Amino acid sequence: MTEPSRALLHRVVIAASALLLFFDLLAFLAGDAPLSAILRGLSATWGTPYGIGQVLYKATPVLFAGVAFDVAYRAGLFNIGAEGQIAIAGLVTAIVSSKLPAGTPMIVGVPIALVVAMAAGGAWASVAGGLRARFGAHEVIGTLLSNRIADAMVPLALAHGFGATSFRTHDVPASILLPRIERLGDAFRGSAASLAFLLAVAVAFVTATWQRRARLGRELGWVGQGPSVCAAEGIPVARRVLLAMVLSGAIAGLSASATVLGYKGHYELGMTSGAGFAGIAVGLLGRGRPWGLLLAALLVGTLQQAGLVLNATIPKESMDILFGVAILAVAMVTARPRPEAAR
Amino acid sequence: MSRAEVFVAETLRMAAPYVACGLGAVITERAGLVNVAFEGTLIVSALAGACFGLVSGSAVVGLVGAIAAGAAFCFLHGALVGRGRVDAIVSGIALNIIAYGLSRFVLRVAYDSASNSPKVPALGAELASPLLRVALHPAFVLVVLACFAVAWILSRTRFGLRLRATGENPEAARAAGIPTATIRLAAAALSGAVAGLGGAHLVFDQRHFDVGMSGGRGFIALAAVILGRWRPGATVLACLGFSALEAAQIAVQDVARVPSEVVQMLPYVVTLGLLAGIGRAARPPAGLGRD
Repeated sequence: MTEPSRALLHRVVIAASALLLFFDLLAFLAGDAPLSAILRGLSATWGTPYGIGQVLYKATPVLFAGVAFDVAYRAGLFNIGAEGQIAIAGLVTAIVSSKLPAGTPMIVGVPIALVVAMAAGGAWASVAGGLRARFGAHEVIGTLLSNRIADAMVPLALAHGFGATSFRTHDVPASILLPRIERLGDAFRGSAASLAFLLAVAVAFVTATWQRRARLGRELGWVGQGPSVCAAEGIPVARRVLLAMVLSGAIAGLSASATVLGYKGHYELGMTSGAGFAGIAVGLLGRGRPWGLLLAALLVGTLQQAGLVLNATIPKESMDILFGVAILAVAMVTARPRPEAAR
Repeated sequence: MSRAEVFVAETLRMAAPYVACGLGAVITERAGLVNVAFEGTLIVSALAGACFGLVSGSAVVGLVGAIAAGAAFCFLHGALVGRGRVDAIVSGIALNIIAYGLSRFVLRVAYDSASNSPKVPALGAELASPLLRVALHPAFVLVVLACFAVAWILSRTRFGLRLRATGENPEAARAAGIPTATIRLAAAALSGAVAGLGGAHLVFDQRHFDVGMSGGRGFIALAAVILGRWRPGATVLACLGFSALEAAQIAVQDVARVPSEVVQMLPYVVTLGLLAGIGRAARPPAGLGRD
């Protein structure tokens, strides 16, 4: 087994153990039987085709958001703003796509929608990215402020001319909706998983390959590891920082494919909320490896879906605690080295 | 009761959590420890204030519980970063996520509610004048005292000197015999206690705990620290600026025909602009984030 994949396995084992331990604890505190809760959670997710479909559906936007977080993270940046980038991209994609004529062929309409989604997400991220690259303003603060502005901007746009009602956009043409998993058989009926999941997986792998093989992709990683060395080598650090943020926002924006094109056919308020923050957990758990990101997204999807099923006894919000614990557990085993002089 | 009096009262009332978190952030960052977990600190301390207050029936116990919970929460952050070698921003993000989930969990399990706690005991007397009610609220008074205490500790005490030395140049501080790891842990706990005052103010001002009540103030306070250039006094002024903008929303909404969303996003747009304006002149402590 090669070193990196052993490290990945190590992370998976640690994360799984921490999750199990804290899940048991929460179930116990909530007055449920831990083992029975786990079995019920598993059978409602991976036990039926519908459950699997729901896990894949929930995993899709968080996988996009996780890849987005990871791209920025490799360049040494914390993009905490996927939440806002996803909301803006979903809104703009739905508005623009709904203007396409009815019956637009999928081969034309879907690429247009995806390009719009990437452009909108990237543009929104470019504000925080530009502030960081040009003025040195910390991107954590820039992206958090952008999230808050998006929170107000989306209802503002919907209420003032861009919405069908004050909380949703017009429908996009039915001809550009992505095929749903339901087509695979009756057992999947009602599940919202779509082709967007495969798109998210492809984006995860293509991005990783690009960062490994392409000159520009490698430069992003170098900028993350040593900006001053890069500057000395003549790499335009500020432009690479901006690029990393814009790319991150663009990938986050692609999650509109899962929600607007794959599920509802329009954008509505709150439809995407939470995906960006769960994506941070995915990015931190799967750090730097497409397989890791995919596994982490499936884990988050499983926990979210299981949370809905167990909600009667164990509040579904407890799943957030588990994400946080898993992040810390993994971060502790992949910790940075101790400085020599410190005790 | 004049409009101006209401505006001043609202500004001061809303400033308390900002100021508490801003001061907390000044303490840890001047010690060189990055801490983005103040949103979580507000949530945890407000929740603890509500729970301790409800269980004991005494608001004072609630107040002490809030301060202790804030201190413990930030101490955990300090320990994860210092001892556990976890990246400070990763730890902060994870702790914020845990705090949010924990608050929902506790509300559901203990009070069978999705969003808020029962009414908590009152802290101090309910005064009739809005300005006096805000200014004489015990949690508010403690926040005001904290402003002076933090400035004094940082600039005038041995602990403050060692803390700043750790934040400016940890290697040199260690060489001079300063136990930098311990200093940072103490700074983390102290920052949590101060920020916990903000959580206590939130919960005893509203008289109940509400899941959304921190409202991103723990994050905005971080921007205030940058605008205040890591100095306690200037940070408090920046926090007052934010709360004045927030209070102005209410005033403006009565008069102007501006969509409420525009008013709602205004403080954040202004902050982004100010961060761009202050630019690279905002220089963090040299040892920030360094071991």
